[in-house]
Amino acid sequence: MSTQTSSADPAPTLAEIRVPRETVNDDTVTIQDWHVSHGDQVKARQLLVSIETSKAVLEVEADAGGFVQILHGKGAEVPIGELIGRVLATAPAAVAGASTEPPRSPGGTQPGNGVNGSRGAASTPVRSSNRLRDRQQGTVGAGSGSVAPSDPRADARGSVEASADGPGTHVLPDRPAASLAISKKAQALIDEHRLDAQTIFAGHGLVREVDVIRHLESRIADHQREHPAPPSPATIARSAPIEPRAAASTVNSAYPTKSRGLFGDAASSAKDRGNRSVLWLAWNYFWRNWLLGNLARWAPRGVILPIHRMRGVKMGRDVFIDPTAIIETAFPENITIGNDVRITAGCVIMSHIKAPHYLRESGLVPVVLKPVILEDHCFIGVNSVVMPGVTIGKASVVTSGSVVVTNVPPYTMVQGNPAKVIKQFPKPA
Amino acid sequence: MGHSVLSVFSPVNDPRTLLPDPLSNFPAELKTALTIRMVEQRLLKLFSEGKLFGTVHTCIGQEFVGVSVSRCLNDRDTIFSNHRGHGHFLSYRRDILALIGEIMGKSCGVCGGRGGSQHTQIDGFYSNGIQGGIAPVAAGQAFAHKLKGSTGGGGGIAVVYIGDGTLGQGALYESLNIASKWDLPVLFVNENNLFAQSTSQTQTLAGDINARAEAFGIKAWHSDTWDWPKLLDNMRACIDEIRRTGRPAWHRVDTFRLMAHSKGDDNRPQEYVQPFFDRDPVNVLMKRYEADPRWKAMETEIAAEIEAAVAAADAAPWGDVRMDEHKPGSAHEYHWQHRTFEKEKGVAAVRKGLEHGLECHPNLVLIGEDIESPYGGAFKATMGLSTRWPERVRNTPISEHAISGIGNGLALCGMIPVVEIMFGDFMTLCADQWINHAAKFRFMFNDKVRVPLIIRTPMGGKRGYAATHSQSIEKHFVGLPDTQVLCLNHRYSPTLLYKDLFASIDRPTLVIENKILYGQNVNPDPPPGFDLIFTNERFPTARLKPDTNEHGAGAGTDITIVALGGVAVDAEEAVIRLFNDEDLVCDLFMPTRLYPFDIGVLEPSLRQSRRLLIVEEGQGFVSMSSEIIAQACERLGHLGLSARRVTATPNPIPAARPLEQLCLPGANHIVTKALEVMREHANVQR
Repeated sequence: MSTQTSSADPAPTLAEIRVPRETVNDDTVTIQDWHVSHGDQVKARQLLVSIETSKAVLEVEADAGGFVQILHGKGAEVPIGELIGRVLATAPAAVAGASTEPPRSPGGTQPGNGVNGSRGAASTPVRSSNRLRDRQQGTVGAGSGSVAPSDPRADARGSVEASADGPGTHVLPDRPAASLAISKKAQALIDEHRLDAQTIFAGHGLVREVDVIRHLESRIADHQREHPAPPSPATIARSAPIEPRAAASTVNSAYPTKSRGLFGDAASSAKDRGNRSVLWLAWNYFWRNWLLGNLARWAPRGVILPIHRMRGVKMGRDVFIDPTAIIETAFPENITIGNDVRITAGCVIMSHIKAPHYLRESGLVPVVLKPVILEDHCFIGVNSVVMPGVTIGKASVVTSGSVVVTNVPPYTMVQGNPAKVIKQFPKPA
Repeated sequence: MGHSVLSVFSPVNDPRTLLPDPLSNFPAELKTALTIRMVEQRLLKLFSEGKLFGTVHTCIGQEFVGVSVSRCLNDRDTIFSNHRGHGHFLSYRRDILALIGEIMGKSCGVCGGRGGSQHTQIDGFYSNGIQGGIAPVAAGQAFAHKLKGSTGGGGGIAVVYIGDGTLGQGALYESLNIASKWDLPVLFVNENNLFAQSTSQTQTLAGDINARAEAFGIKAWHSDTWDWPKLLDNMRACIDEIRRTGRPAWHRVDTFRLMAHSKGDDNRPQEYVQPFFDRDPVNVLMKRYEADPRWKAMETEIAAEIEAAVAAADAAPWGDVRMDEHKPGSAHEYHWQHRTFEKEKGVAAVRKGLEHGLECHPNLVLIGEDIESPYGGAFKATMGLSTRWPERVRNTPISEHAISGIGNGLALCGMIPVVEIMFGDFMTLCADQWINHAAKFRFMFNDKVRVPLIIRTPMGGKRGYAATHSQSIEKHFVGLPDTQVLCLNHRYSPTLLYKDLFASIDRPTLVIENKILYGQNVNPDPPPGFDLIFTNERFPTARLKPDTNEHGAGAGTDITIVALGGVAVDAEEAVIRLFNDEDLVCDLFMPTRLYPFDIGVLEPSLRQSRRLLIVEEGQGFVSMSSEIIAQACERLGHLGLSARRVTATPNPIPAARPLEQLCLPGANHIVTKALEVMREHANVQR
């Protein structure tokens, strides 16, 4: 609505100009024409404005003499009862654009030109203040702007064909220009990050919260491309597996049962130990697993990550590991964690399986030693277990209490024991 | 029986005062009468033999009525007969095989076994087993004859046979009134056989029969079948007068049905029926010509024809019930496209469509209450049309049953009637014509006729017109095979819809306009972020398609919304609010065709969203929304759809605005239900 309200105008209102209800059909009407200009002096009962309804053209006259203030201009569409102007005691303040032809409201329709009789602005005294002029002739008379094809019959035949494929239709895709709508949640994010939505999302239709988030993500990605950070260990792990020795897959047990040494079953066989010496094992147990492992569980949050790094866990940036999480008890160097990974309370990430003597030696449950890779943006819910050899793909979620035994593809949510895919996230392009 | 038998016989019409030798004076008439009698008797025998499925209404005793009428008719005239129409049929077209085959249900029957005893059709002959409803249809045929006559086609007349039982039907009097007022060349033949099924006229009929017609200013004639030569003369005089004056006429013919109404349901005592047997004209003739070789030869010839027909019908195969549309492989492939049309008020667009129809189709007729200018209809949709086409735009009395029936009659005679029913609530008064006539003719007359009837009516509330002028009762009129029900919405131009409808009309069509739409703009411009597209159907589904920037599958649309008719405006408001406030993306479908409805148009969207919300302004119980959900479940149930409906609350519509807003679906209701369906489906695996 184009409202030129001069709220500061002190002139007292002598009469209000409102849209009268004349028909049951319309909730809104169109202002066809103002016969006076903003600021004109008018007499009582002078014709002021023509209003087009679905039924007729209403003509509204001044209830009192004075100066006209126009609030809704020609072509505006206004609801019944709306105040469209006033008659003031003194001349209203001139408003830009409201002098003679106030700007049309954006939703306004073009009034039919055949209907509008050119009534002069001269004061014509009439009995009632609202007069109804029948539009009958204007509606169906010749040249009323209605359907009048040159060959009516041909038009009737062509009508159906046209609906399938002809003039008046054009093929998709063809998006109307300059149509962008932003939801409130998206707008909040846009405001928060001071984004230029019209430029960023030009060519989009609806902009949702998720669209803004994706934009922010891609901005971070661009930033990282321009300022490369040390590569994520997960990426390295993917391209070249950690160490052939450590990545030794299944170690079969064929060693004698009696040789139980100083370190009990830990010193069982060279193969079981990943071909490491017994001394290394002792060091390993004492330093990396017993001391540092327990320290990590009791350490303040700030030192958990350095401790795990000291233990040999390969880790990217922005990682969170809860103190109660267990990151491999014996072979921490087999664990690779990417950037922005969150491992929550009670999680157990294991890279080896070592069953009791009987099962191992009978070959029922061989010893397993496989690397575990948690790629960037993974989320491991509380009390989840990740078993040896598993790779959890980028931006995947392991929900609480799950036991992951197989690889998890990127952008997936898994749940249960054994963990199964329950949801696929949309992947960014 | 409180009836005096002798009161119907006067010395003048005593059958003993016959002409010297009627057989030589009226050979054709007597042959037809005898044929009817012998065919009816053979049909009764076939029934006893178990060869007829259903029942058989014989006209034994009434043969001369049909004989007297048909001998005066020509090719342009039309006849509408009733449930007791074998005699009328044979006197119009002496095709014994067509009739017997039809009653035996075989493909050699005149309607391929679809119509049976009560529903036959051949050329200008039609019959339907609905009492009263056929009277306005015949009046409509007479109107068509008159219009064609006025444009140089040469006018025929219409005849309708009614019994004395039909005198109890209101539609008859609506038709008499209009026929008289509009000077329609229609003959009402009242076969007064004293009984309606088993009930004597003395129990049901008040006042005088002919006075009824005379009260409407229609000339009433009176004859009887016992003095059949006089009946033949009277009928010819009567029909000649109709042709000469173009005015309707009423002809009461006293007669008597000697056999049961149907089969085995005659409880009239023998001593009451016997005098009629003795005086029955065919019986009298048979007795008189017992020894006449000419009569004997005629009887033998007819009997041979009948036996040949029975044998042929017995050997003939059964017919088929499939219609063209039932053929497999007609599943529609939906393509989406943009359409361009002018933004204008709904009522103006409707008016333009009608104006276009009158301009381009010379056989298009508009009838309805108060539609003539200067009033131009209660909602001004026909403003100005009657000044330009006074012949074809007519005000009617307040007779919804009759005007919809007249529409049916016009449609049968090749016109395109557009009947305006002022308020959709009054469609209940047209139900008989819509359900028992319009929807049935094409199928039961074996695909030989088309009924291009258009009924336009506004439905919907939000105008404060309260319980009887605000309803949306389209659910009572959808689902009849071979009809279509269209509805307008603010996203597709009524002008285009009516243009396409007029160009393609071949079946009864109900167009539901919405009172709210009249004052609203039909708007081709979508709101920001949405695209407005249409299917490539004749009556397209408009779709406000969200323009999302999605990459992965299954993340585009949250809810698929279907809005039927005028509530599309509220649904659109809700869609925009759901996006702005809740960050939800809805795909809004606004079909313009309610019946037949194909879920295929929603399928791609539903596969993505798996949430369906239907907005309907009428009552939800057994409605369009139930149908759409049923179809969706049948087609896509395996996806685990969740569905909700927004419909009117289960009570009549109140008058006060705040109360009405509580009852009818609005944007608030839609948003609430949409959030409900989102919550339900949040945890389902996607």
